[in-house]
Amino acid sequence: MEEKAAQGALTETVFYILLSLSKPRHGYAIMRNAERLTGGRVSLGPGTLYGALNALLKKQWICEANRENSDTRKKEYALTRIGENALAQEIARLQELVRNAKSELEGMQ
Amino acid sequence: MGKAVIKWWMDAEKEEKWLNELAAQGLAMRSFWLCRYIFEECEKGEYIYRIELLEEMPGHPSSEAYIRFMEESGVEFVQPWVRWAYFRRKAADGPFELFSDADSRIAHYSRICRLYTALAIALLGCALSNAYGTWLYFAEGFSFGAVSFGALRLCLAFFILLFALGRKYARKIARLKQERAIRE
Repeated sequence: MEEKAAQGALTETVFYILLSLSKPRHGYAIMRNAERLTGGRVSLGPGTLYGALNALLKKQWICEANRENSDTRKKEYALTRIGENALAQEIARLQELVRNAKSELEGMQ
Repeated sequence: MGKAVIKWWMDAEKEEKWLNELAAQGLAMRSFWLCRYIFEECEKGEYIYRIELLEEMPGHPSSEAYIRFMEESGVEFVQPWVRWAYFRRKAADGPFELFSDADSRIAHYSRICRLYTALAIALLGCALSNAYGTWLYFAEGFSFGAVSFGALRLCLAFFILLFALGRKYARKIARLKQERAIRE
């Protein structure tokens, strides 16, 4: 029995990690970026972030970016092709969500 | 300079709460050994402490990688204790929580629950072997069995405490899993 593993919502943690990696960033910068984007609502705990980053590395949605151009010694991450696609798919799913919500609620009025 | 306090905690959550209460009063934990804490003076509420049970011993490469990541994220690794890690961060950097979603919280609580349960079982085993010695004491007059009797009561006491702690975390996990059905 084949699992339909590719469907399903991404967690908010994963979503904001992928979104934050539009350019290579290290863990702390991902945290700060997520906070900035959500006005402090999404505050990624370092324990959670670490686990999610490892899971994403394993799935090869992200990779470790080489640090030659970077000014910091911290480990930086970057999106892979697969990760970019996953993010695009998720954004499409979220747009569908909002579209449906708007049409259903307008229909009720 | 450093203030020493003797206190023994079995529940890591309560210990963490205590460390934060003291930090709020201007005493920051610097080090710990067995049940002896060394505190140094700090600004009131300068630090937020968090205690985590690591997957592996601190010397293990995966633990080292995790600790390095924490330090890169602006968290200070105070010290390890067996598999426990004491972290702290300056309150000025904002609120400090190790975990921000249910899944990672469940994973952490599960690690802790497994530890307490394993220790409880080990102590139950000790209790049973001491029960045998106790029986020998009362039934056969085996004088050394008196020690067994004392040890039996100690083992049972610890078993009950550890078992209760394991249950406490199991309940936390169950509650989080219930919530998980609705939101992350």
